[in-house]
Amino acid sequence: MQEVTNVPLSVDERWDLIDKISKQTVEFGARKHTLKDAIAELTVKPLTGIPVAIAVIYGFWSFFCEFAGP
Amino acid sequence: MKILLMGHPNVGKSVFFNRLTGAKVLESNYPGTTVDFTRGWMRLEGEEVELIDVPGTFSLEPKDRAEEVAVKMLAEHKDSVIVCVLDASKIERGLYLALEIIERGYPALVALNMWDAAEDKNITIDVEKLERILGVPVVPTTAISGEGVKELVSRIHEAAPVRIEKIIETAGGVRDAGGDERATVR
Repeated sequence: MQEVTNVPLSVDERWDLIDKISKQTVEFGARKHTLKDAIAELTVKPLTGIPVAIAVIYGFWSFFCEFAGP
Repeated sequence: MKILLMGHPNVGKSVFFNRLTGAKVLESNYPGTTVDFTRGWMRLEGEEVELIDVPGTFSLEPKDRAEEVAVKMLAEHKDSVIVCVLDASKIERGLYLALEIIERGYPALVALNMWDAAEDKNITIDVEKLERILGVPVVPTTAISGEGVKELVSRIHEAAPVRIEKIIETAGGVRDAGGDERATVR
């Protein structure tokens, strides 16, 4: 196999090259919003996340009360 | 010939490794460290070749012990073919390491792994163009389902060292820290 000796690129040059390569080869389309994404968003926003957290804790509490007694 | 699987942590290198090797697998610590790596063997064109699952690293400038081991292993296997496993949904990050490997003159292949995840995120990659720019085989794969793994194996013999100037030229030049655009390096 033929040997190749390259002069290493600097960090800036390498990132610039990556930028140029990805601009020509990668296309980001509109992201499909799945149910998983919707749930993830609901749980990280304080306004909806806190009620979701309370609902989950209540759900666990009532589940264990039902089967193991209060 | 040896084949080294290199890439960031959690891009599916080990899944690849398990797909390519059989039962003959050795897991050991890199001498003098607690960093472990796995070696196995696979049949390639009737020949038994060694496959090494190198610890995950983000670049060839090591920041921790595992990355140090990965860099040392690369330096110790000058005659190896490197399979750069990239996360197809975060291609830019993986390309940094792939370019570093190519710059050092290793014959390489690029596996755009987690192709299914990239499709789910509606990310389209022009594989042919990427291959033309990099000058190395680029294969979309989903190691977990086995998709593309056979094609990758069949193209290992195509891996050859590439001149970085050629990549820069095909990509359309490069801009350095001073903002100067050029078609060649230094």
